[in-house]
Amino acid sequence: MPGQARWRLVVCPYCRSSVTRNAELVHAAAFHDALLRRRSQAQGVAPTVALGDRRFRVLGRLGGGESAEVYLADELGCAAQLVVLKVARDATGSTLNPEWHVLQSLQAIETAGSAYFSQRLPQPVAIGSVVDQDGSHRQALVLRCAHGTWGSLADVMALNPAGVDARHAVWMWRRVLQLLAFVHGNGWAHGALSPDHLLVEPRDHGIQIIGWSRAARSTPDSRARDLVQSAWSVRAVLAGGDPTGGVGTQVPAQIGALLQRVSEDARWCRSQDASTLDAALLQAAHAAFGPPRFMNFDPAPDQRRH
Amino acid sequence: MGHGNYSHAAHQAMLADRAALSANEIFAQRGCHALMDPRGLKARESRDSADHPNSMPIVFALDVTGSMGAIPRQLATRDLPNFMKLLQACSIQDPQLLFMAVGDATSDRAPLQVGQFESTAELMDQWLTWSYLEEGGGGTGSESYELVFYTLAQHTDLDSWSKRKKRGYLFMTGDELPYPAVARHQVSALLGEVLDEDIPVEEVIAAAAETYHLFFLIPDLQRRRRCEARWRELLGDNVICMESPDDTCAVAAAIVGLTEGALANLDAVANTMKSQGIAADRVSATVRALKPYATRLDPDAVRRMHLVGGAGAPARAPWWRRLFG
Repeated sequence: MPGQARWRLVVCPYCRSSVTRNAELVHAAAFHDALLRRRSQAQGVAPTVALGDRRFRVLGRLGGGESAEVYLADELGCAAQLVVLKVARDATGSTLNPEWHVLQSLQAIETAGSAYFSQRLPQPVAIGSVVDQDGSHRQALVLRCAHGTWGSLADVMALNPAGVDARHAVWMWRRVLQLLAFVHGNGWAHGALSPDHLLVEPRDHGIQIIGWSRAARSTPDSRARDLVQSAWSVRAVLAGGDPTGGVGTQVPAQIGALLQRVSEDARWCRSQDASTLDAALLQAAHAAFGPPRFMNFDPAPDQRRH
Repeated sequence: MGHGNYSHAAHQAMLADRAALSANEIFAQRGCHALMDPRGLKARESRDSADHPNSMPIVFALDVTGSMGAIPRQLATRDLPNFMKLLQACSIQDPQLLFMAVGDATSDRAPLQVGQFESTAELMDQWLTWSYLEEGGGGTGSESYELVFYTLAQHTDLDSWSKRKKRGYLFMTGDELPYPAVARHQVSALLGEVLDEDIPVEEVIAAAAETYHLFFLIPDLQRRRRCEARWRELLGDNVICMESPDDTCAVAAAIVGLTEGALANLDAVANTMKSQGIAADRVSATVRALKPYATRLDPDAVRRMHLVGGAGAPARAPWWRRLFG
């Protein structure tokens, strides 16, 4: 018997059995078997998507952008977690690579506030290719699920055709501006800040910014563009189904004036930054509504009634 | 182990004089306590008894390296009675607590310490305060957390599992990465047993997860950034990113309550914590920390997210889309 049999299992050269001289030897194979048992629990669950060794069960469609479909999925196996799968529509190429790199850079920022704000930005988990139903490979980006979010501001608009209360629009815009202050301050700009890309957290009055495929290193112009788009997003959610996108008569004058200027005067926005606008908005909101107080926000009021 | 009854009043009284003491005075060990030394360890047992017919094993594996010393002290001076009180409020019967301490086996003198499962305040407190807070750590970015999983998988025996197929709970606190594998030479040196090969951390976690719900608690958002991603690969939504180490006990108790179905959702967590006199800001922070795990448990959580039916973009783009090019 080989000398190694004193401390581990060896395969007998004659009978091919695994043998050892140590009766109290702990077999690492037993731990490997546990892992196989755990993984086998994920077998037979359909429909699943495989990305490398990882398997995901698709729970539903969250939406779709210009280049990708977005799904909510459950990662199966040992590390069960809810994730977002962003699957490229184009069967060729690597269209999701830029977003993956931008998100990694954003999550790597180590400055004041990064511990808080990095939670309000998508957390990249993995990137790879998944096999489509027709057998073609498509690039997929796995993001950590934005827990607590209900849907996008576009979804809010669809279910609130008369628009949302101006007091809700205030906290929504403030959260966007605070996030933009962090992102711009660290040298990035989003580039496509539409209601589709703003997820709302009703319970905590939070906003998460998604859709970073057009993000780039910031310039004065790109920062101003983000500010303009943030204001248009808020105008859109205030206006609901109103195709004029008007600020509306229910919005206090000071807030309406700020919204109008930020959304329509890109040149002025070049001289501003997100923090300054946030301070101005806070002041305008205080003048209109008094000190901030929590108001319950129901993104789907009609659905709740039925 | 696990005989005797828990008295919250006795526990509070025991801790009453400790608030002014330093960590060195409370944790007086200056080396691994002989009874917590894992060398020669056969099994730590969580047993049912006449007093505790439904034993519920709960393991706190506390990182005792330099950066993590606050949590053991909070437990010993303030929070452990609150944890037990919250469990009682959740109607969790017969909890049995085992304290372990974990450090870095590549550099520390006592990187693995193992107490016993206990049900009484005196004995829980005894094992907690017998822990040696070595405050070491090797500066490698990793601690020997994998040894905790190995010890639980290989050296604990739970009546809750063998009789009722009910898993226990592991709450491991930490702010570093695990080593990639359980090293056989460390098992030999620390536990005195022969392992035939190194065990990848994924495998030792899978083995421990057969009898325990495994949770890794990161003490604050700043420290989550250096270890969260790797731990999520290993434990998924069972990684809990707290906003303050002060929330450790509330988070752990709420997890037990949610997992056992005693607390239906995060609203119930908040109400229970408030009813036990926990400050509003800590209630909010606890609820935020538990959101990912609670979402996983809640069968209606996915329904509440705004899923979109069908495939492809809507036939007619809304008016505002033209503004965003």
